[in-house]
Amino acid sequence: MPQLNQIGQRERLLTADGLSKAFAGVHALQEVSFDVRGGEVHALLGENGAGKSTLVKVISGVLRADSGEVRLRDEPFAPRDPGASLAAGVGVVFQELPLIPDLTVMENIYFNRQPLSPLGTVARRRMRARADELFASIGLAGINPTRQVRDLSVAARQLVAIAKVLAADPDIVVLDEATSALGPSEVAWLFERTRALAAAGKGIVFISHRLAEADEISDRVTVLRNGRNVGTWTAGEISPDGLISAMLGRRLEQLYPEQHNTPSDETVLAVRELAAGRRLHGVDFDLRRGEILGVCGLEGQGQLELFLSLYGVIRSRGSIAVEGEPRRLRSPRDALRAGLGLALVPEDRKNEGILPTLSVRENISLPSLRRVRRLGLIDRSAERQLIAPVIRDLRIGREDPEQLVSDLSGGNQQKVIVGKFLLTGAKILLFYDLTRGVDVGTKAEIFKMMEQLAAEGYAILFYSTDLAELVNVPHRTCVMFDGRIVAEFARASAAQDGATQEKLVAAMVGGTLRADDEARAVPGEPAEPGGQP
Amino acid sequence: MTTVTRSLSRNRTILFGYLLVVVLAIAGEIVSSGFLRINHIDELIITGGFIALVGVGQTFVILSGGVDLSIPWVLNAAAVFLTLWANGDSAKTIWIVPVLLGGAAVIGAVNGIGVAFLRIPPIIMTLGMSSVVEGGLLLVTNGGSGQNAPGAAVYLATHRWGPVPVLAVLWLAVLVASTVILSATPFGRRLYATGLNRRVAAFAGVNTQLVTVTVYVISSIAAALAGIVLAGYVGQSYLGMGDPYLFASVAAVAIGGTSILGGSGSFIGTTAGALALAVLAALLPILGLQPAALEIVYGCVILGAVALSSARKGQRDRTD
Amino acid sequence: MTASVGYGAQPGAGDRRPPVRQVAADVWARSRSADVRPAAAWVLTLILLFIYAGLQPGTLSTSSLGILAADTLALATLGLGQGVVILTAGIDLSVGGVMALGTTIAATHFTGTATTLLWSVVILAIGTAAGLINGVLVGRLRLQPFIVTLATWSIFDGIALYVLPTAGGQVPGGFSGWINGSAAGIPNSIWVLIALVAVWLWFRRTRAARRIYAVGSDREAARIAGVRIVPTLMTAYAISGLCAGGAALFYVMLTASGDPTSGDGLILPSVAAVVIGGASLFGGQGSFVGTVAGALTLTLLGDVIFAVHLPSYWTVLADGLLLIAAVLAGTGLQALQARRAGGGA
Repeated sequence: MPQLNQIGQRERLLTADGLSKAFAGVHALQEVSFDVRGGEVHALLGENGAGKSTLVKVISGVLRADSGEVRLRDEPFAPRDPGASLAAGVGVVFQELPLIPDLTVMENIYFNRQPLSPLGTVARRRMRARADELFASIGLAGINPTRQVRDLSVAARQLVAIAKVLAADPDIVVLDEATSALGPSEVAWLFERTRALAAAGKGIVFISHRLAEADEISDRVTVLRNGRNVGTWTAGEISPDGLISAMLGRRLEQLYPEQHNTPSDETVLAVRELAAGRRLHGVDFDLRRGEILGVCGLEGQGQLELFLSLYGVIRSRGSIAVEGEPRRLRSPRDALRAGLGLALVPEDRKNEGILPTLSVRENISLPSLRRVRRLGLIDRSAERQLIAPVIRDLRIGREDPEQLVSDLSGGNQQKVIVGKFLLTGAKILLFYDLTRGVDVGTKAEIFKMMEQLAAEGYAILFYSTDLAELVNVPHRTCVMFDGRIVAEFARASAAQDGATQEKLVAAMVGGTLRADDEARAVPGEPAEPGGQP
Repeated sequence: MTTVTRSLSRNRTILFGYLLVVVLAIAGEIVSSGFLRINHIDELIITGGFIALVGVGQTFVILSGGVDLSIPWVLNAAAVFLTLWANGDSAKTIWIVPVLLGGAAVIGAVNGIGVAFLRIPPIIMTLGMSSVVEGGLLLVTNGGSGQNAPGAAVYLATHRWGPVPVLAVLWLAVLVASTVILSATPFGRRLYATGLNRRVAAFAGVNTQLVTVTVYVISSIAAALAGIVLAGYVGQSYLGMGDPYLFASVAAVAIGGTSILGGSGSFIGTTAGALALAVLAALLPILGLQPAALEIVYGCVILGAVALSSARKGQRDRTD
Repeated sequence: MTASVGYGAQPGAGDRRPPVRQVAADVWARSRSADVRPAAAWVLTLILLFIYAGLQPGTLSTSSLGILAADTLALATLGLGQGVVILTAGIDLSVGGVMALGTTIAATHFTGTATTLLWSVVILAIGTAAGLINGVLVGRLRLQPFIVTLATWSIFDGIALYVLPTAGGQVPGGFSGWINGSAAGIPNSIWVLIALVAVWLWFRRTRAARRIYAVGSDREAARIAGVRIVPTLMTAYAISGLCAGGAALFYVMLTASGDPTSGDGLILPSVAAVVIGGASLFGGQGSFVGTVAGALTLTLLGDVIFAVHLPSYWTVLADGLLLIAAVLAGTGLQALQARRAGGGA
């Protein structure tokens, strides 16, 4: 790991000076200064809304700063758009993966700079050759450049997005949540590439919510909070707790709540040989009252189909029994009637499960309108009485039912989603990736809510992509691979052989746990040679 | 923002609509005195009422995030079949009207099923059904022109109770019923939800397919009703009588502030739009303009209204 | 050591294959996505052609095929422009109004060779300008395409009514006769279709066309990739307007007259032709090669209906049903392909 003075001597490639940007009165960036040096990997951390993405968008030209400037080496740098930015040597891999689905991989990589024939048309053969060369040089052997992006998995798309930026050989590479969909071996590949780029003198900016990853790869780390740069440290100079405090502005007493309750013996949900679509091949499990059951797995192993079948969104085979009674769940309405509630945050995070232009009251009461119907009309006062306890118990916003949900913070919006189902008499809650891209502070709130609900007797099925959460929050966690459950672990604190992140990873990438997997220090090597996720 | 501020801004849009009506009416009076005499105002209200009726149906559909382009031919078919089957005999309307409304409901249901279950985009589905109804109508009538309307329809359309036309009362009833449905019933809440975000609504237990089918059924029934009454008003039916009502229904909705994207809007606003269009249509001949001018005006009005409402919406949620 | 990542891999994709097999494999891989549907459209066209040939002997002669092509020319040209707009996930209802305006101007201003040439250019320019207006409203003001083009349709229809209140007017014989002529044994109408297809095959491989596909496929991604959305949309709608102007000229060639209502009945068929040809209404997929097949299908359908002595109103009915059926077939096929592709990534 480089020493402080070594970094200090490196050339400043990109310097942001006093950048400010405000939207409708919200100060997304306040006089942020930031620099990237040649040969370093510089992690940028912060809660949601801290300004990381805004900073990246200003640098790459998606947004124009209100004041301050950016310099590339010593010249002012203000690209018109990310394409121009890339051409000038600053490449950004955006969180949202801006790939064009109906074009092929190579068309995306060389978009708007495709090699041309004399007629002005795209020269496909030359483009293919260049793509093959590119993939070979960066070590991505398995992606066919002529496949349409729409046919690729999210992980593959993330790789293509990274390849697109690398293809232009930029001096600075910004990776904004570039690992969110990648499995361990792809993350390993990316880290290897990152180190290679740094060794070649490039500057890398690494943004992630996965603090462990950021810790592993970075030479320096900068924390943003509320739009300000609250400090830059070299790796090792500050502890993880110190980082979290800097991000939150306070000591986080506890990210993961005290684990008070034990689940009862009563089985609330019994699933046998549940299969659906092409990816869910048959799962069996029991969920008990008061239990939080975690689910983890690489992307596309059937976990989404599991949740959607339990909620009646997709057709499934096999049996589902709620409180002992077998149920046919053919639609969300059936699921609601059976006592299930689904809070699902989809990959694109576009529809967050709320109707933002409606009020808290209107959102929460939506599934339960029948209960406040009198003579065909909605009884407003009955409606207010019905939702008041929910708003109070979950502490939603400033506890004003008329507040529009769009005004609420992310964490409160999640509470509105959950609150809906508390009113429907749901006993089983399905949480799918609620904490994706969510900052530490909100996560703590969500975990506290989950523990509270479990204590009150709700049963929760909880899918997350953050291994640290899965090790600490659920009572037990099962691992899905190839459409089945292949392993199950108890909570880390509960038993000697409780879950660890390494064990989860090993099970995620290839099935059964083996004795020598204990010895692995670095997650990422597949358990078997040539084992592909 | 809260629901209170939300209603305030919505009301402001509606107020603009009615202001427009008043301004146009006064302009009419200035250009041609006598424009605002009672008889003429009655006529304006009735013409506006026809537009408002199809506009109400269109509003329901647009709130759900769709659009209904089949309105003109459903209207026309209802008018033609009324006159054809009644053949001047008012007694027959007892069964003819329910049959026509039922038939319209079937057409609406087909539209709704295509959009909700078969995922066909509303423009295409209703455009296709419009052709089907048009073709069907032409086949049945062999392109011939219309018969005379039965007395009952004529009575309904033209009779007055004192200064108040019976039709105005009918329009008012429709308006009140629609507004109550939208703002105070579970269906209305579910309709808003469906138009705002179908998936979120479905996950919240809303039967979005049922909501979608229902609004297209409502729209077709409204169109058929308009056709029946229009036949009575004009005294006969003829091919092409529905044509102006496509642009008119969309324009009325646009002026009234309903968002074309769905999820927000009101019937009172649509009514304002309808009245404005009626006054406009009456103004044009006075200004010496040909009927062709009306088409140009419709187009400009639609553009102006949507541009305006999109600009104001853009101002409000300027976050990015 | 490079980590080998297996996503999206075709079996043996890393291998060196002989170029021909590589090309074939590429074609197969790509054909799963967007090229099946235009081919299916042509199959449909040929089926209808043979049915018609069965009912009407002599259909397969060059002169009859020339007449078929001439009848289809206006619709196909409309379809070319409509197809480009649909690629951007939009729709252009104003083509009806622009075409009507074009025919009325032609019928009132085509007096001699010079005026015909001059006003032809004017008509094409008006069409392009109309398209630019649509493009600005859709792109810059971010208004919904259907409502913008609904409004401009009304406006242009109104203007057409002013220019020529009822169908009629006249054009020089040389102009209208040309379409019936032939060169090198092939009817001019077929030459025109071939020329249009050739232009399309060139256009779709230009960067401009790729940008149009991109905007329709995922507008936000296109924006971040550096596509200037507003000029791209303006280009797409301008092309549609230009084609509507061209369609007006072909219409006038065929009927030797103008008609302010001529466009109204061609709007639905223009969308139908594009959809039958395999385009997706959600943007990003589609080709004029398919649209031509779609246009021919619709024309043939009308001819078949006429040949079996059914009243022509059946055509209106059939067009509507065919549009709905084509959309259903499209979404069905897409679901099928998604299911096939879903396992392999």
